[in-house]
Amino acid sequence: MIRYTVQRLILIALTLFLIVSIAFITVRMMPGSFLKSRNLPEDVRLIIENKYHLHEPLIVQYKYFVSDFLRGNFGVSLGLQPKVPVFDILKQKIPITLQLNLFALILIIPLATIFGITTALKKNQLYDHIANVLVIIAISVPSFVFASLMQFNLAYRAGWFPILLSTEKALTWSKFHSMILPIIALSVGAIAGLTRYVRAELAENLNSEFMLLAKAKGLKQIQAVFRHAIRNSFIPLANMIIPLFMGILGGSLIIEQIFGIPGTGPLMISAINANDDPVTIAVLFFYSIIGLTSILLIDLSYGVIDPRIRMGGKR
Amino acid sequence: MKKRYSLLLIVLTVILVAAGCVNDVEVAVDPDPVDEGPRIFRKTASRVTTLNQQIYETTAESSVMRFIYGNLLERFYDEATDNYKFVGFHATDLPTRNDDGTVWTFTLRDGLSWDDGTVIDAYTYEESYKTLLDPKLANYRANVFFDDVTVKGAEAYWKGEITDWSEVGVKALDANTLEFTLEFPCPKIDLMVAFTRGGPTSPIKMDLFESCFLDEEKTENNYGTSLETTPSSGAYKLVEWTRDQFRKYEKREDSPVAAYYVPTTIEERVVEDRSARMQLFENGDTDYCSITGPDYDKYQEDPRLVFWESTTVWSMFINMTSEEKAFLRDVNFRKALYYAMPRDIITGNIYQTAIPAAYIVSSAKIADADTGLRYRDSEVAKAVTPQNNGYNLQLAQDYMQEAFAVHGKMVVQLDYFDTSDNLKRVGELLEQEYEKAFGTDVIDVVLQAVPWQTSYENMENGTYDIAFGGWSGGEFNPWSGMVVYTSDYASKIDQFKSEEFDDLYDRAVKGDLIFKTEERLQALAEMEQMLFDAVPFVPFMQTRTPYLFSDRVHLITGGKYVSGVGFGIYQSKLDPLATE
Repeated sequence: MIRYTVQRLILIALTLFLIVSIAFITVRMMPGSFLKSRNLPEDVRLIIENKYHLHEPLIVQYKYFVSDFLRGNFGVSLGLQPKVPVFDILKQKIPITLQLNLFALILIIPLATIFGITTALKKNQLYDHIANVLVIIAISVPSFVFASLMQFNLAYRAGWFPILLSTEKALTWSKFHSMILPIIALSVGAIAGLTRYVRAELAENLNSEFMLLAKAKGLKQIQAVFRHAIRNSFIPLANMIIPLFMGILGGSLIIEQIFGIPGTGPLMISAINANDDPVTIAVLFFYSIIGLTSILLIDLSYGVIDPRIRMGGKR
Repeated sequence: MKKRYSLLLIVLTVILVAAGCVNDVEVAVDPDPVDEGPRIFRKTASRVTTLNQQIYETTAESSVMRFIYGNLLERFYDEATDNYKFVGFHATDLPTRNDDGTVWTFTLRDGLSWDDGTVIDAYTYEESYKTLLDPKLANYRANVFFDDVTVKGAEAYWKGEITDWSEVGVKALDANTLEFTLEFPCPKIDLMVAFTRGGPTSPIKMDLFESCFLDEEKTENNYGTSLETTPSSGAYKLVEWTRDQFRKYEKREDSPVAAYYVPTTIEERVVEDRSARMQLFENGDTDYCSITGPDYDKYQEDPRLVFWESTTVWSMFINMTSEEKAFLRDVNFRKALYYAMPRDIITGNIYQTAIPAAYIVSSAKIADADTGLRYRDSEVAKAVTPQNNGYNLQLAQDYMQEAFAVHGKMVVQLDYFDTSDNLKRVGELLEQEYEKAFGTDVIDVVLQAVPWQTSYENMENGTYDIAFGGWSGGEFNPWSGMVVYTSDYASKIDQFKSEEFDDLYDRAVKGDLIFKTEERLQALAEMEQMLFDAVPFVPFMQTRTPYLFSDRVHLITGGKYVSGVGFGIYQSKLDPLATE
């Protein structure tokens, strides 16, 4: 297990290096400049860009980049927050995104599990049909539509919630109150998607032979479901957690914009649009670390969920 | 068990249904106006990238800097003249100059300070400008001293061509006297505008700046990037700053211009979403709101609506040097497009807040700084402005027939920005109107959606037929705005080149005309006429932004837009909030 983990960590390091190298080459080949003013004289523009070696051959730029990267220095932002070290920008924005999305996760996983299990157990009954219709609606309608509708009706017209996220720094009740609508908006689609997945997996397991065996051994339906069927359904579910977790850190561009949340949502797109190469690469690097680590953790967790799975086994 | 499932379903259904149908609620009414005590002005704003005045790029930043960074001068609305006026801010009064206008002197007040009490004097300014021009820092805004006001030796110092600061024309003669020596004479208004409002010419707090360097070589500095690194020398102090979310300013009563500002506190909420901005305003959470897009239909009859005039005139640029299509080089073809441009329909049906513009210099631009006379209101401008918003179908058809006789059927591609529905609609309208006016056997307009950046690049490279574009610029110097049409302009998007135009521009901006009011005005009209004659582009509208103000704001201008100061928002009487 330890050897397997070490091997995977080495591979992760190599993958990360490849990702940032490809990202570097890609963003540096994109046209445009971080200097947006059209009135800036060309010679002035050149002098400023030369400060960041932007007119050197790509290989020379890459050499500068690698030497900084290996020292853990991603440089400063050029366009989004000029002169601010890129990791300071991430540090600034991650807490609120994490806070919101962890609340969303707390809502998503139990609700999706409950809805998934209950709809699988009540398959093809009225409850299942109604739930399926709602799930289809929640999946089909983009989250920003829910967000706008809720903001307009529940916040603006009814006045039940603040229109925007509270500006308080600490997590107080009033701040949490202002987070309810974004949390629901972030959760609706994910709950629906996960519900469908759990329902499908569980419904398949409920009809499998090991369930017949469990019941033949004298287990009640509810015991068989919780001890065997649900546990087996959770193995593929673990794979769903990766994109969900990535979504947590990625935030949501539109929802953050609608509710005035200063999170990571717009960061990647804004950085690309602003030709802010250091931020683009740093954000990609950060997400890659989270993604690759999540995959490793999920892989390692298989053994816990299902003891038949051995990590790093030769045979 | 069934009850639990049903309960969960009901909760989910209620959330989904409630999102779709809730009745109106009543809006609270503000109390009667009272003229005393603290006043909070609440507004929505955009996110800012930096508050380092030496590197910022956009108006979002300058709108914050106008509060927190002082400068030598300031401009305000003057009720007596119903116009703008310049007053001394850190300076005691307006600058004085030598006979030929190359040496300008400011006298600074005594007792100026940063918000922490650190003294500001002429030496602070000189040090700040030395930092602005520091070649190692490569500050983007350094060009204020070699484009806007050409300070002797500034560009050479910034480029590292000279290293001796004493060769640069900025000198603190003593703690109260700051002297600028210019490469060539400069009109007084240009100099005053350059040293007005928070911006690159505002002082920086040197001790703080020194502590903000990020590297030993002193090439990167994070001054103005957080609350701790953003000092105040202006009328307000930044007291809260949550990046991309919220900013709060408190008035500095010891500021020399404090008496001009009514709000004691200004709160800015960063909101990028149009609907959310509107809802906040209607809920009474903010004191003004710009009206954009579909909201205008709802508010166009609202008596509170006021219009902010823009210096931007939108035009349809024509590649007049096209190698592929000879008819684009034919002035008759271009004039036909000019006179058949349906400006009234565009502004009546598509850009409803804009006004038709058959001219090049925006009506917001001022031609006489002393009287506030707008260029478009001057007699010389009226003389060159085409009648009937430039629409003359018969004349257009005559010109087109002449072009048709030479070139035959003309197929032209019109590029519009792929992200703009309105420009797409303008394109479709022009396709329809031009083909109707001239006949489909004469002209075929083909529409093409293009990203706006690509479209501008195509225009710069001359690889397009026809495309939309616009220039804005400062309100106070319409002559400087003409630089974009000169032959050597770096980001030139039209293909017009004329030595006569360039000469006139040089004379008006840095030559013999700068102190001759009448001749200079005439030169501007002549430059505009040259562009009318060559038709490198067809101007069609001047944009305006409609605003709504809450009932607690009593605009000092009565809702009239005054060039240079707008509506005088922060000088306007403000009723207290219910909570104040």
